[in-house]
Amino acid sequence: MTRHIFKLVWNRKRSTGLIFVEILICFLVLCSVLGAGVHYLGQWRSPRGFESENVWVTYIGGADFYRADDEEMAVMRQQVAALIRDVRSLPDVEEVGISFNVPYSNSAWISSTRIDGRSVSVSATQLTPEVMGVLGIELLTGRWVEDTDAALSYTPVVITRNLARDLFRTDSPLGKNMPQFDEEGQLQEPGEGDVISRVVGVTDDYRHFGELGDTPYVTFSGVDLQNGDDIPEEMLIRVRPGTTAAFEEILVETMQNVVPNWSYDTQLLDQSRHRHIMGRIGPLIISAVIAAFLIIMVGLGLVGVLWQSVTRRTGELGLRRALGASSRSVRYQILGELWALTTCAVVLGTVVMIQLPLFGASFGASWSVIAGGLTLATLVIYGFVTFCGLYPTWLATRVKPATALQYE
Amino acid sequence: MSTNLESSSATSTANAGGGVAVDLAAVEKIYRTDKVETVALSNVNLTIPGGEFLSIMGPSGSGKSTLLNVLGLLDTPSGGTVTLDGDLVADLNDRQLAAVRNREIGFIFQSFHLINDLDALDNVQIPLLYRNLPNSVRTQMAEIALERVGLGSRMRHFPTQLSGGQQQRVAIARAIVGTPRLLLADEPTGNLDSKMGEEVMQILEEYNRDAGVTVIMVTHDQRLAERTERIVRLFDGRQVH
Repeated sequence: MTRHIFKLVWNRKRSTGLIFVEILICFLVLCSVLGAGVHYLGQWRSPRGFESENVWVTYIGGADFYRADDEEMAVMRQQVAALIRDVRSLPDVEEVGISFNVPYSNSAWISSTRIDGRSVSVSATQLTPEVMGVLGIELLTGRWVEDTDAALSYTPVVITRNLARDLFRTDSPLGKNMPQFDEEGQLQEPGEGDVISRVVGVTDDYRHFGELGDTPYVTFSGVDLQNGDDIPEEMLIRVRPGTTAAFEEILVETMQNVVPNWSYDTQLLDQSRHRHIMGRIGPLIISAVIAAFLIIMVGLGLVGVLWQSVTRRTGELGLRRALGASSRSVRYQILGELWALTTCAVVLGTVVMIQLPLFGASFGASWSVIAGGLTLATLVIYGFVTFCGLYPTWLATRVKPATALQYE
Repeated sequence: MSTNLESSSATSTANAGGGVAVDLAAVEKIYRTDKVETVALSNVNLTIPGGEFLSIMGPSGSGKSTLLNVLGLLDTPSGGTVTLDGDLVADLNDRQLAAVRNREIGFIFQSFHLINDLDALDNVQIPLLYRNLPNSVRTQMAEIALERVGLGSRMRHFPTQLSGGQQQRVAIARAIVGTPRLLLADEPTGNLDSKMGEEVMQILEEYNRDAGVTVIMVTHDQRLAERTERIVRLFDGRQVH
C-alpha cells in the first residue's frame, strides 16, 4: 500500500504540488523557530559561571577617569578606595568589588588569540579580587587574581575552562604563558618589554551575557587600583539575602557622602539579567507568533485543498469502497497520501537545512541544534498535517459508494 | 458470509467454490428527502443460484442500477433481506461488508471507473491492495488478469492511452483479479461499439462458463440479454417477469 500511495502522489505531482510546497514552507519555518528554541534551551540549561542573585551594580558617572591627569587620578583612586570601604561597611553588604565589564553589560574588552590556526576572540575582563566572591565565580584549579599581582614581572591571568582546554589541550595551563602571535599568525616568543600574561588559575566557563549568551573564551586579570592607568566605573555589591529595595537609597546616600559630585546609577544585576533575557527571547517570541500565524494560514489552506481534493475524488473513493476498501482503509488512503507528501517535504527540507552549516549560513547553530530543530519540526509537521487532514478524511469516509460511483 | 470470506484464499487463482448464490426477499429501496419520497425498488424477490448468468433489463429509472448496488452491497435496502450464500448481509458491519466486496464480488461499470493517474497494471491491482499480499504477488496476479483479457502488451499504458474497449477490458481484469464468485456488470457494453461490446460479452461468458462464477449484468441490449440464462425485467422498481 505504501508503494501504491507514493506512486499515486508522484503521478499526481501537478495537483499535489501546492500541498507539497505548503508543507515544505511550514517545515522550514518550524525548523528555524524550533531550532532557535532548541538553541536557547541548550543555552539556558548550561551553567553561566556566575550568580546574579543578591548582587547590585552601581555605575559611577561623572568621574571622567579617562581624561584625568596624574594628579587628578591620584585623588580619584583615593575616592574610589573610600567608596569601596564605606559601602563594604554597610550592614547589608557582604562583599564589594569593581570590574571593567560586569555581566549583562554590552561593553566588553575583546582581544584575540589563535586556536588550531584560526583567530578567535577572547573576552578580557579586569576586576578586583573581591569580584570572585561577589559573583560566586568557581575556581577549578590554581589561584585567583590577588592585590599583590601588580608587583609581579608578568600579568597573572585566570582563564576559563574552555580556553584552557582548546589552548593547552591536555597539558596543565598553570604557569604557562599565553601564546603571542605576530600579524601573520605565527607564534612568536615575547620580546623585551612585552607584557607576558601567565596563567595562574582556571575557572569554570563564564558567560558574560548569561543564560542565553554564548560561551566565550574569557581571561580574568586584576585591576591595579594603586598605579593603574584606568579605574573601572562599575561597582559590584553582594548583599545579604533578604535585603530589600530600600537598600538602594542607603547605598546611594553612602556613596554621595563620600564623593558628592559623582552620580550613582544603581540597579539589581537580576534586573539587567531580565532585560537581557527579554532582549534575546523577544525576537524569538515574535518570530514564533509570526510562524504560528503562518502555520495556521497554511493549515487552513491545507484543509481547504484537501477538502477540495476529497470532493474531486469522490468517484475514486466510491470505486475503492466498491473494490473492498473499508472506511478505515479510505481514511488511511487520504492520510497516507498526506504523510507521503509530508515525507517528501521533510526529506527535501532536511537536505536544505543540512546545507546551511556547510555554506556557513547557519547563524552559528551547531549540528546538535540543527538536528534538534529538524527532529522537533518533523514531529510537529506530521502531527500538524494529520490534524489538518482529520476533517477532510472524515468527509472521505462518509462517502457512500453507491452515490460516489455516480460521480464522473 | 464471513466464514466463506475467511476460507477464501487471498492468493488463490482458481475458484473452487463456484458462484455465489444470491437471494433477495421483498427488497425495497426508498429514497427520502424532506418533500419527496422516491421508490426505487419495490418488493423485489429474486433467487439466483450459484453460477448463473443473469441479465437485468428495464427502461431508464426502473431501478436496475439500484438493484445492482443492493446486490453488490454498495447500498442497503430500505426493507426486505439480502442473503449471499445463505448469510444475511444486514448482519455485517462496514469492515465485513468491505471484505465481502473485496473477496467475493467483482464490479464492472459502464464508465469503467479507472484511475487515470495509474497505469493498467496498477489499476488492476487496486482490489488486491486491501488484502495482505506482497507486492510481487499482487503484480503477478494483475499480470495474469490482464493477459486473460488480452491486454498483456498494454500493462504500462495509462487509461487515456487506451481505447474504450481496452479500458473496459482493464476494468474487467480489475473485477476478476481477486477471483470473485459474483460478478456484477452495470451496462458493461453501454459505452462501446458493437465489436468491442461483443469482445466484452465473450469475456464475461467465458468467465462464467470456465470459473462457474455467478454473473449479473444490467443491460439495455436485448440481443446481449438473450445470450444469458435468464432475464429479469424491472419497471418502476418492480419485477415484471
